[in-house]
Amino acid sequence: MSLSDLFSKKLLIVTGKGGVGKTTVSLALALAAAEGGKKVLLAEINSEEQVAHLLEREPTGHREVELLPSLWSINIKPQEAFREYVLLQIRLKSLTRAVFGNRLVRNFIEGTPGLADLISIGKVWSLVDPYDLVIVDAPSSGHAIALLKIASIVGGAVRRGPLKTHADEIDQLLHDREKTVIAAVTLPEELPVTELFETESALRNQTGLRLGPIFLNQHLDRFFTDREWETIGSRAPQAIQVQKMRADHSEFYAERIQQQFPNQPLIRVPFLFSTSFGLPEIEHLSEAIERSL
Amino acid sequence: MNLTEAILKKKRLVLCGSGGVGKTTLAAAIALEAARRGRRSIVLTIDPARRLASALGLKELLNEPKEVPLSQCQGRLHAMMLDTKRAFDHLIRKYAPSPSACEAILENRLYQEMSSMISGSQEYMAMEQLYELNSRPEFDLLVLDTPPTRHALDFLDAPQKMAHLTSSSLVKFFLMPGLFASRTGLGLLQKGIDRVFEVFDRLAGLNFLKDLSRMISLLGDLLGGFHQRAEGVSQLLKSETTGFLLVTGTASITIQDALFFRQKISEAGLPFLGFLVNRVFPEVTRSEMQKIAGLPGPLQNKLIEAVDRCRALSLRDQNAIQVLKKMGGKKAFCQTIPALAEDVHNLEGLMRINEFLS
Repeated sequence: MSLSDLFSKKLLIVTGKGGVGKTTVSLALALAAAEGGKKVLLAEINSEEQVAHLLEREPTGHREVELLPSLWSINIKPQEAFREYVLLQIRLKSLTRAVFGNRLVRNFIEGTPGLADLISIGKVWSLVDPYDLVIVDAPSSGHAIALLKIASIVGGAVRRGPLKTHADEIDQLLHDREKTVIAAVTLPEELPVTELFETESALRNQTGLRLGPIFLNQHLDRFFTDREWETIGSRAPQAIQVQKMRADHSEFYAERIQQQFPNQPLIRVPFLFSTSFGLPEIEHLSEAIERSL
Repeated sequence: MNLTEAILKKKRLVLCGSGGVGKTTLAAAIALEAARRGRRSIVLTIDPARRLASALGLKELLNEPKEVPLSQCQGRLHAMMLDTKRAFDHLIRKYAPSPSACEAILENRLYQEMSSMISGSQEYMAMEQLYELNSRPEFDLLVLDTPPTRHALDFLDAPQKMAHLTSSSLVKFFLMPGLFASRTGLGLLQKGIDRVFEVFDRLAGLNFLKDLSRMISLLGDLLGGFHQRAEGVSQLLKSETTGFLLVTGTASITIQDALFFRQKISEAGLPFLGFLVNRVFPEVTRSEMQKIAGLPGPLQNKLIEAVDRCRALSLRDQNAIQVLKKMGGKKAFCQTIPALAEDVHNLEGLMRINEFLS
């Protein structure tokens, strides 16, 4: 898969274990797409907003803001998205207010199984049309599966009404392989790679969705040859030993991932030796991704 | 109070922090350290790495404490893994008034699909377990590894939220709309309620809502006493014998999260003890540099280049630690655990970490 293949889709959902760098990779991808001339929306879902923070901008909250040329961002909040949705369906402000002003209803929305997920993925679905590409910085793996599954559950359980129609349409979009790609981010470490394998099989078995490209983040190339390392032996400082392990693991886990998924593109996102992390670092990663895809 | 004192004196240690920072590993290491120092500890973990799980004897998903065999150790270590779905099933079996009520809910299609998805159910179960384990006399110290929540302290109000949901009048209303209005004396509000009713009917149809409500209401009847337990958990967490530890990495995003957590812990009036800064990049010492001296020239230069490249990382981490120390408050400690040149996934690995816990 080339970068232009990837960016010709409408919806790119990025998942992975907590802490693997989903936001960083999503942002690097969004930047590459925006620089390639696409109007891109990067959507975080109900998170402690990170995208705006990385770019040293004010949080966007639940509204679309253009943070960089052609790169928009939103932090989807289920409560607000639900209000929008009900208003759209009912078309009566006073009635919508009556519903949402009700504490009982609020408790119900917060607690009802899957409702927040359905509303969030529904909001994503509604944003696909106005943009060339929507990139979703999805919740971590387990929760992402729930997010991808909810439309089909609701579509199956609800018998009539707009909720059913919309749930079915959302599910269709997610399963449309011309339009939607699911990407995963992982690290050259045991836990994130195990979780990648589990996510892939859960996706297949529980949602019938296929995993697309895999981003191996913080990948470090070997610096010393085996022979050099032998000569250095126990004289290696602790810091260099830690780096050596990362390089070894980068090679080891890249191979394991490729063995497991021989047909999927594996993109190595380089480990950065930098003190701070902001736009220049993200640009660097973005270029590295462009080169390797 | 430093970390060692906390490990020796507290009755409950709660480890929180964002995903991927090493909460589970550190929770296990802390419980192990307590056992080595003679206490009877239990670590309640959410989702350990498979190899760590097997090192802790948690190969099977059991919602029961299992003892981890330790040699030459005065105390005892137990471990327990939380599986939300099973824990829910277990809770329902335990509290169901009759076998038929129990079956009714376990077989409810919506329940099966959703029991693990009920928002906050993992957090809720973690709190239930904490409450239950706390009442058992065989443990001196509970170490709780919290679920990786997107919202810092979701687990704190999880019991309250569950209580709200299951006792939600809206649920009752979906089941018996007429009765609801007259019984609760909300007759005057009938008009408003009718409108709410109308909105939900238009959106999804009432049958679905009735199914959903039936499930939630069954759950509420069975589990009962939510409010009371929620209150109990809240008191436990605020108690002086509990301590909150914030686990963090050193990347800027992670530090940002940690500071946010720190603020939330204070706001919630919880006893914050300090930060555990995990995987701090080691600084290259002078004696390490001296050791390099004997190597052949070109290789020496290459090593120096590698060391130079790493300086940015040590600097990043030292900066991060400074920020945490400044923001942590006077009484809080900031315990650093260096990045190791090995993956930690067994008891020996945990012992290596323990060297840095005091």
